[in-house]
Formats: sequence, structure tokens, C-alpha cells
Amino acid sequence: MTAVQSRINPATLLAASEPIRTRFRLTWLLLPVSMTLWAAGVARTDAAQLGPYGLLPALPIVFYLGLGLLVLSASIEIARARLSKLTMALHSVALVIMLYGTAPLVYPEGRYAWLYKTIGIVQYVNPHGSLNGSIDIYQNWPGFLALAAWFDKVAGVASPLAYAKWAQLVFELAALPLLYLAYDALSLPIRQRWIAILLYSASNLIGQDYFSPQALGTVLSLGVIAFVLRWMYAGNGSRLPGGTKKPVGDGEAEAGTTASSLHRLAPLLAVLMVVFFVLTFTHELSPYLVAAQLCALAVAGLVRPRWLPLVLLAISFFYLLPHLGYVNAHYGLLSSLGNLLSNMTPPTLAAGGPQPFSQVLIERCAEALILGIWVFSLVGAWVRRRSRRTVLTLLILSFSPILVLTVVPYGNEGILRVYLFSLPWAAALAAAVLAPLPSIARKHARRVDAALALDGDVKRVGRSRIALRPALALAVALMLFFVVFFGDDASNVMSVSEVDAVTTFFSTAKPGPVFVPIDNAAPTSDARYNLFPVAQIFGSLGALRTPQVRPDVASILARIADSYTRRHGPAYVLITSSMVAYNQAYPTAGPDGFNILRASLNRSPDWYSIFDWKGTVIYEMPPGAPNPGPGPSGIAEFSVP
Amino acid sequence: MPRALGRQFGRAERPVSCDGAMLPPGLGQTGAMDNNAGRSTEPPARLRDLLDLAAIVIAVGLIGVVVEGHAGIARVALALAFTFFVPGRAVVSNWPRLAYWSQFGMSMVLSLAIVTLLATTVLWVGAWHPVSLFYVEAGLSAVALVAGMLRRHRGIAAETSSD
Repeated sequence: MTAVQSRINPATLLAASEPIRTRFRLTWLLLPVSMTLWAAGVARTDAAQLGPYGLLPALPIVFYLGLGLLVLSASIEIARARLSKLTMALHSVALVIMLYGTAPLVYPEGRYAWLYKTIGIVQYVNPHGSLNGSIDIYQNWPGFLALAAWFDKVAGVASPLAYAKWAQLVFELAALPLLYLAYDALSLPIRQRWIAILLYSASNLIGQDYFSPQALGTVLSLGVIAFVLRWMYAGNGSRLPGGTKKPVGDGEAEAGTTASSLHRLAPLLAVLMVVFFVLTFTHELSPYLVAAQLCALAVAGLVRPRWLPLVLLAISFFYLLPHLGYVNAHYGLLSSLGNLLSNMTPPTLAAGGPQPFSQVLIERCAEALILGIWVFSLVGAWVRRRSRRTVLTLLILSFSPILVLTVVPYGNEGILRVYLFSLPWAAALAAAVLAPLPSIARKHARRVDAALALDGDVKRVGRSRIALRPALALAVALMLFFVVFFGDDASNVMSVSEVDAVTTFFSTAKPGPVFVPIDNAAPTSDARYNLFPVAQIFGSLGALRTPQVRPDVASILARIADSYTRRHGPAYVLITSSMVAYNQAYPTAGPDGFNILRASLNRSPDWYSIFDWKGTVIYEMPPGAPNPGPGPSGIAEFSVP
Repeated sequence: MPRALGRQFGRAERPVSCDGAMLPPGLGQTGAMDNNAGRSTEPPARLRDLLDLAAIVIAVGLIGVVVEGHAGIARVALALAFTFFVPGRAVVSNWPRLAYWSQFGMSMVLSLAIVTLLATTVLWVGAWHPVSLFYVEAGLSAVALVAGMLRRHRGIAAETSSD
């Protein structure tokens, strides 16, 4: 028993544990009303025709009213003297449903072309019952594929197409309890925890949470870090005023590496390593980001035993070794070593014309949200600088993922992954700015007794002021989030007709290479995805190697296809409405590129239009087609998506 | 009463934040970090029983649906609940140390890890029989959940009788 505990009057404890009188809370009304307004808004949304700002203008005003009311309700609840865990949890869940449940409700098919690639790879598993690591990188990190294929059989569905669009909602909901566990392990103030959770949901613009390995990887990563913070964290070991050392959690991490503490930790370490191993073969980047975070914590003496992150790194490297050749051959892993600045470069777009203002706005909003969270996190660290170890832990967790960029660019998406893994901790620090009570606590610490401090501080500051800061911050974050998250939907959304047409065609067509003007379609959501290698026509890496589309493009494509198939099999050109929408948003081929391509294909003696329905057009060059003859050619790198 | 309470906390006894900063007492709700105020405490037995029962119902229900060959949203929902909860709950239910910390979050992480590990393992060894694998997982989980509940109730009964 500590000095503090020994002097507490039992009456104090009794008073503190007195049941709170059940009064009517305004939030009990606001929360269901906000959900009702949101649901009404979703029901009235017509997403059939989307413009340059995606879903934003298509959402009716009641939708935004519902969201605004939810932010107001959450802020009012945050300003209460005593937070209700249940009410805050309901607000957090409601916010996630509003943000990540809207798209699957208003769109009949899942967003993002790359979603369909994952579906195709998952579809490969069940009929084959095995993996082929030479096909693509996904089959070398098969955890999610195996899980999804197993799930399909247990759930009795023929394809993940039946449920994949709901993945974002499910994975974001799954993150909530893990965030709470991690913040709980750090003993963050209750108010700060809930603000951080709301901020996390409102700022996760990366979109990693679609039906994909990284979605599962993110959940497992959060679980691993929460686990470490609870059982192996040495940061809560402080000294009491009398100099007595305070126990840490259950005391495991306190003793560091003594034999007895290790013996007690052994089962927990074993579980941690198993979960980390699953993470290792689920996603190729996530384990290194987690290991970097834990290594940095261990260097700072905040994780015990200190060798733990090294063991986790060893697990990752041992798994990577047999796959290193493939990764290096396809992604140039070794050549990117040490190129931090070049690896930090965000994704760039091939310029086939001036970028529309809508896209510039979307990019600026994304940058503003990312930088805003990071800047706020630094301000929060300064505000809470007296909580040295906790702040240091959060700072390390927030910014250590950048270490991974010294090794891999991750297809120029590395910086986005860094933000993703930084976000839970940066949001926690940013929440410190929005939960102003520690300064109030210090101000009144010398003279306010326990009971008055609990209620009195809140009253003195004024609930409206306490509510205002998180409300404003959440509103700004959500405004930026909405522009980024829904602004691109004109090209992100696949129509039912496009998915049906393309999936049906490629599940029955003869195998062969496929040209696509822009790699933004769903041609591979089938188990035979590896039989249709894809090459892009437009863009700097396309077959034409130039933004200008030549009138004889069909002949160029025919020559490339001929050299690839040797006229032993067919070749295809696939054009879809989502590709046209993508070109409007991100000009890759100039405004007339698609018209020139189609006119050229229609004129060509090599290509035959075999499918034309609701914006989806497929041309075929049959196996016995005449030799296209000499002429200019291009370079196409066919690859399995 | 507030004055009386106030006298209990002199300067020396004031709680500290997790890193030792002096803080006013009783501020676990309002901003300070008072030792382990935010830490989870022992969960109520009723909640644990409820979660265990829910996991058993999900496992047995899904086995029934799969055996019958029904398809539809109910089966997908049951499969989702199983994947995200049941095997991990079976572990947590039998591991009080974990259960005291996290009833749901760790159940979820462990469930996903177990299901992913087993599915990938059978894929690697070329024994891909997902439905059979599910029967094994669901059966073992149900048995472990029942065992956990029984052990817990036996422990409670023993404590009660010794009192």
C-alpha cells in the first residue's frame, strides 16, 4: 500500500463511489436525432451522377445537419464534469458509422479500383487451395487472403464482392476499442482519450481500411502496440512524492529483465510474438512500422525488456529473407535504402494537362489535415510537457514511423503510411490541446479539494468554452476529411454495370494480355486474375510513353500485343467509364485521349469491338489476326495487378 | 463533507501523474492522471458470463447454419461475429490476467490472429479445407468457453463457501 493510499479516508472513497444521479442529458436527445438526420440524408442521396467534387454536393443538407449535431452532442458530452463511458462510446461509434458507413449505403458497389484487385486475389485461393508466390507480392504475404477466403466459405458467399464494400466501416469500428485500450494503458485522462478517438476517426483520410491486407494489418498493429503499452511499458513507473517507486501496471515491466519478471511475462510475450508473426505475413510494411515504433521506445527506456523489439524485427526479417529476391526484383528494395528524401516523396500524377481546381483543392485539404494533426500534436506535447514520459512515449510513437522511410518508399505511398501509423498517437497529443483541464488542475491544485476539483473546475471554466475547442477542431477536421475522402468519388466509384460487365467477361474470356488506358477499373475481381496481365496505355509509364495520344495508337497496341502473344492467343483493350472519370480528375492523356483511342480502335483492322454496354467497351485482337506489319511501336510492361 | 475530504489530501499525499507530476486529487475524470485511475478493474462476473454466452451462441449458431447450408445476411453476420470475437474470447475467458484488462478489444485481436494464423497455415501446408477448419475452431472455442465459465463459477462458489 502506498503512502497516498494509506491516508485516504474511507469516507472519501465512499463519496467518490456514490452513484451519480440520473438526470436527463441533452445528448440522449441529440445523438438519436443526429443519427436520424444522417439516415434521412443518406436515403435522399442520389449518387448516380457525380461531378468534380465527388459525393460532397450530392449529399443533402440534412446529412450535414446530422453530422454537425453529432459533433455538437459529442462536444457537450465532453464538457460534462463526469463523462459517461457508454455515451462517449456511442458517439464514437456513431461518428464512424456516419463517416465510413455512408459510402457503402449510397453506392451499390465498393469504391476504389484496387479493391477489386484484392477481391481477385482472394478469389484465387479457394479454387486453387494453394498459393503461387511468383504471381505477385500479395501471394507472398497471404495472411489476409487466407482469412478472407476462409471467411467466404464460412459465410457462404461466392465472392467478397457481396460484402467487401462494408470493410471500411468494420475495420474502423474495430480500431475504436484498441485505441481506447492503448490510451488506457498510457493512463491518459479520460477526456483526452475520447477526443483522440473522435479525432482519429475524423482524420484517417488514408483509406487503408478498404478490403485489403493493410486494413487487417492496421488493426493487428494497434493491438500489438496496445498490448506492449499495457504489459511491457516502463513509462508509468514514476516516483511518489516520498520517493517510493510506484508499481507499473501489474509490475511486469518495472523489474525489467529479472528472471522472475521474465518468467511472469513469458506467456504474454509468447502471445505478443504470435500476433506479431501474423502481422508479419499479413502485410509487408506494417510490421516494420510497428517494430520501428517499439525500437524507438526501447531506446528511450520505455519498453522492457529492451530486446523485445529486436526479436520482433528478427521475426520480420526471417519472414522477408525467402521473399527478398522477389521484392527486390520488383520493387528495388535495396536501391531505395537510405534515400529518405526521395522515399518521402508523396504520390505524383502524370500530367496530361492542367490539373482541375477540384483536385488541387483535394490535395491541399489532405496536406492541411495531415500537417494540422502533426502541428497540433507538437503543441499538445508542449502543453503536456510536464507529463514527461507519457508525452515522450506519444511523441516517439507519432514520429518514429518515419524511420521506415529510410529503407522503403513503398511506391511513394510511404509518407501516407507514416501518417497512418502516427495518427493514433498524434491525435492523442492533439487532444491534449483540446482538453484544457490539466492547466486548470494545476491552477487549482493547491487549494481545491478532491470533490470540488472534480466538478468545480468544469463549472469555473464554463462548459461552453470546454465544448467549443473540440467542437471547432472536429468540425475543421471533418470539413477537410470530407473533401479528401469523398471528393474523388467520381473516379473511385465503380458502377454496377461496369463491375458486372467486366467481371462476367473476364471470368469467361480466353486468357490474354489486357491494355487499359488508365489502370482504374475492376478487371481482375476473378480467380483467373493472373491470366490477364495488364498494361497501361496512357501516362508516363504507359505503352505510348507520352501524354499525347497518336491517331495510330491502335496499330501501336497491335504490334505490342503481337510481340507478346505471338498470335497464339487473344489480346484485349478495356475502356470503362471510371477510367474516363479518372482522366477528367487527373488528366493523364489530355481531354481527347479517349476519343482518339476509340476512333483509332474502331478504324483498325486488328481490333474488333466485342462488348459495348453502358460505358464499358472491350476490343479484342483475336489469335489469328493478320500481322499488323512494321511501324512505330511502344513499350508495354504487362504485369499481374 | 467537501472540507472533510479536502483535509485528507495534504500537499505530500497529493496523487501524481503517471510521470510523477503533482496533480490535484480526484481528477481521473477531469484531466489529471491519477496513478491507475484509468486502468481497467476487474470486470463484473455478469458481463463476463454474458460475453462468454454470446460467444457460445455465435459459435454454435454458426455451426448450425453452416451444417444446414443456409445462406444470407444472417450467416454473413454470424461469420463476421465469429471471426472478430469467438476464438479470442475463448482465450481471454480462460486467462483472467487478460480478462481483467480487456474484455472485448483483446478478444478481437486474438480472434483475428488465431483465425488468420490457422487459415494461412492450412493454406501453406496444402490442406485447404476451410469449412472443416471452421468446425474445429468453433468446436474448440465452444469447449474452451464452457470450461472457462465453469472454472470461474467454481472459483466463485469456492470463495463463497470459504467465507
